Amino acid sequence: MAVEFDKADALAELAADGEKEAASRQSMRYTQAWLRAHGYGQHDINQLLGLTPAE
Amino acid sequence: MKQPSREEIEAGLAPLDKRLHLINMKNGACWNRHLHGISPSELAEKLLKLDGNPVITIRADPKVTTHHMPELAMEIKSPGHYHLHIIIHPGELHLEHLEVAPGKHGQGTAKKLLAWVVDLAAHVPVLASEDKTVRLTTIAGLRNGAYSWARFGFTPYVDTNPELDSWAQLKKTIQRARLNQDASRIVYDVDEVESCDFNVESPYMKNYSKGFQLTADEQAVIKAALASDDPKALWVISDLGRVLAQPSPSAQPVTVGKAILCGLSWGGELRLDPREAGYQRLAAYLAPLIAQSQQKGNGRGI
Repeated sequence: MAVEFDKADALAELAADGEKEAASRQSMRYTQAWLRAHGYGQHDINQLLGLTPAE
Repeated sequence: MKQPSREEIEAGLAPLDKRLHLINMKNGACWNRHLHGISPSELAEKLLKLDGNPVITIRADPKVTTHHMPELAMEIKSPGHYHLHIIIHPGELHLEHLEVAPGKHGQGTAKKLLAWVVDLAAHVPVLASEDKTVRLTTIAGLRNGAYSWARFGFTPYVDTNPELDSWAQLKKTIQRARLNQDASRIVYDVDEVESCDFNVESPYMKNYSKGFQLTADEQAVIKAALASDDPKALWVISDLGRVLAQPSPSAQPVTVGKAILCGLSWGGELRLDPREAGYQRLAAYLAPLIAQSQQKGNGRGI
């Protein structure tokens, strides 16, 4: 890949989309399951992933 | 689908007029080699859906030998708006370049482009592998790419050949270049950071070059992820969401995951199969655009 190519701007835009919060929660299902399997409770998972308790 | 004639190719793509440049593509055999299953008029219909009246160049590789995998490059440029460059191989669609002009951020352009690529992949059967799914591949790098592509469901390659095992290499790089000796802090190799392009354009890398302390739980999670042979463990690192810094009021915050992965590089893939966790992760970001693609995709892969 040539150095001039930079996908980061486009990806930053994806992350900045208005649906980010809902998308993040949905997309992190695998991570939440992984953390539960490693013994973490929901409170710790919220802290690790930067989620508020309501999420 | 029967082989289209030169006249059918020209007539089918005529609506794109002078915005379309075809190189080695007006030959029916060549068309079928690369785009079998989608007619010229169907391709034109998809290209016309792209915003910004882009200039489109489609270049087919004329070389076809036993040892050479033919490829088709599609470059789509809307000056001042976006630039998308994809390369199609049998069984694989490589995202070579996806860029939105800074002034056009926040309008959902990149999201639409990625959804457009997924939709195209669903309609080009030559892309499908034996199990009918399509692989998206990319090189995740520069600035936030190593972080962002993990967030969107891509995973690093795993291979028995160490030189091709991107996950094994990335784990070593994280330990060497992003963590201190006891893995309690995120640190940056000064020489390495200063030689990276991303450092020049990412002010927070200069402002926060002293690194960041990790919590005990974060240290344990990172250690477990780096001990895993499963490349999906990268998602766990990328998802660590405690905010470490806010470079500016309008900028995206620097989270633990981003601070670890930004500036690194890895090669990876995502299989467009609804049963796979990577696809589900991508779909969460592209919904409902990707759901529309599923409905129109005739069950081919997505």
